[in-house]
Amino acid sequence: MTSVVAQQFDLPPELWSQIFAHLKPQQLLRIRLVCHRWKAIVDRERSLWARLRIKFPDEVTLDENFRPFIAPAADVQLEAVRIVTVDSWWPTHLTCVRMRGCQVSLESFLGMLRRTPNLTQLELIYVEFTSGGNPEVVDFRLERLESLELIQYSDDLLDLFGRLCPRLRELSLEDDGEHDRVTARLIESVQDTLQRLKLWMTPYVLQKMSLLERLQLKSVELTDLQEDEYALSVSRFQPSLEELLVTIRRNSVLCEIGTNLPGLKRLTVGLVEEDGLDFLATMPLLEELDIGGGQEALNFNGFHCPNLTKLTLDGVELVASSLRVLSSKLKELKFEKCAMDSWSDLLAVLAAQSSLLRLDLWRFDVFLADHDFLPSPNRLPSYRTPNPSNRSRTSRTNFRTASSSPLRISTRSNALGHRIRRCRKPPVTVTPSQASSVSWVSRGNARYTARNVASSRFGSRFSVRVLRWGERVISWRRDLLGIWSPSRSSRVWSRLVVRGWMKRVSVRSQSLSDRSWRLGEPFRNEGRLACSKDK
Amino acid sequence: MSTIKLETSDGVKFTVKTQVAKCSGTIRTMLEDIGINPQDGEAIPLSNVHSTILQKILVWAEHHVDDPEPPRDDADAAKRTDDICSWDEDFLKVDQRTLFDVMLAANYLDMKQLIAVCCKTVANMIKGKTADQIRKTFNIENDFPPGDEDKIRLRNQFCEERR
Repeated sequence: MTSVVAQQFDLPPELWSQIFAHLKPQQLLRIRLVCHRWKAIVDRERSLWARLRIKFPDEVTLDENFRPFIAPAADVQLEAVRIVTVDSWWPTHLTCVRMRGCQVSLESFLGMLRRTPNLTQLELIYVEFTSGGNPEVVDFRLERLESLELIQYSDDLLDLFGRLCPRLRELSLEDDGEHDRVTARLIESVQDTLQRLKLWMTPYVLQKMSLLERLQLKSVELTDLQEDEYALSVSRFQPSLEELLVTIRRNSVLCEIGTNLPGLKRLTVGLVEEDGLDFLATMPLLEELDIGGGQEALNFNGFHCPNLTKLTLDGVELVASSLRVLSSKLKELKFEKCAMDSWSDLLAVLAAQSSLLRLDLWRFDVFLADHDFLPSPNRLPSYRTPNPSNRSRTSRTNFRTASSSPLRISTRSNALGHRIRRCRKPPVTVTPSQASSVSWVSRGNARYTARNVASSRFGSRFSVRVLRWGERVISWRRDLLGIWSPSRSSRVWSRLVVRGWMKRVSVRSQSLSDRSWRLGEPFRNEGRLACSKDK
Repeated sequence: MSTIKLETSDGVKFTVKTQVAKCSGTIRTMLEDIGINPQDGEAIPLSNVHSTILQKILVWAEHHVDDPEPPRDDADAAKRTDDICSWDEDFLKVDQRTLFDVMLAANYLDMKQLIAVCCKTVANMIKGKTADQIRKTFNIENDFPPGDEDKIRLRNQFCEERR
């Protein structure tokens, strides 16, 4: 038998498409230029081209003269586009259409929808319909449309969607006007499938909804500043709710909601009153909690949410140590505009959370400036969350092979740098061991030299390096996560730069392995970032 | 420790630990479902795999035999290409022909992990290259009629990454 392996110097299409799956869309587009065979592989494989999105240039007019060539894509975004008519070029295999600030005649709009029977998601945000009216007959339906989001709409449009989409699962409505009757009608027509609902509740809609027997919502979001009473009512007639996003302030109301909703898994609440967090006791299944403010320092002592994996706190003062008892399964922690006593408190919490994958600190503040928290290369790995299943592998090779998801830290805090005292320790220079990027903007005529670069690796996909720079602290990872800078007190560091995957290498690029590098020149425009990229 | 015999396309016989051989989905199925009895001393024929390639693959399997099952839920992780462990990186520092042969054999033997790491390696070879450079790398002929390439390029104009 002849060996296929030996004869043929190529791969079968299924292997190529598996390879292409690792490429970014931009690179996929280039793949389509290589040869017929490769182009066919990309065009045939839905999972490949479904990652492409078409975004038309802003403020273009789509009329009979507009004849674009369009690559296969599943997603179209139109922003501030005037649509007179679309021709045969309008892609028919679309699954998602987003229109924002567009102008379109209802006729053309219906024509576009008619040609996209596979549409699953539609967003119309501030779309202006030039010819109004409610067509008597619509000769098609969007059977697959699952998600509809409307911001600023008319009664007629809502009524139209009531007839177009029989199987909506997600509905999000936002408008200044009163659309009580149509809204209630739409919800009624999709009550069999509807699972997520976001709207401005009114007594009329509430009353109508309470009468719908087949409606079984999973998630309800009531937009800002609505009375507790509405949420309470919803919880009474929708006991199957798993997610609730509200701005309730009263603990007593939340307690009652918790009792009404035994299956509640995700909760977002506004300000929490002084009388505390008793409601947590009524929600044993809670997996995600988002608290948007509090009057007193938030203290979770005495509360235990065994299933909590994601905690988001916004604008609260926190007794950090109390987090240790709250849940031992936390995967994501996000603090926005939060404050706690000291960094050591936070680190103690992190060390105790063995499954933590992601940490977001945004404008984080501490009352005690204990800069010693700065991880040294020796200490840092202890915050890496060891995953028992990966241990054997890790020990055999090195950290890079650990397949556990790394802890991701993202921070955009001015406060950190501000709070940290001047570092007086003797400079220790550690050469960063691996590719990384750093980006900064300097201003003024100051010259800086890297004093202390500490680096440590958390796992295969992530490395944190903390750079002490006088009193400034910069931390970054491969795709640069942020710069903490004392911008309030000093004008030297002007702004925070966070870039995605660092590809841009500026004129003043230097290799990190230089051990020390300088930023000397006056900063003139933001485009002149100094970054350093390995290789 | 039980062993089994494998016979490659060029007639070379390998004696392999059963556990290592079971890295291959194909062999695992043969042993477990079809019920081929390895104790008989009869070699399992692998008619699509050359001995040099099998040897290489066995080295890989030997090294990774204790690996835990990869997590499935992380769709994002599957798309990464910078998480190849250094041992694999060195292992796959071979000429393109061998790399492709290893991939084909791994495909035939149904070794998902090895295919994945090979795919990442090839994807890394493609990344950041223009169509021309890709053609040169993989020795592919540009079979588009002149002008067609520009047309396709034009079609690419509005495309961007889906968020």
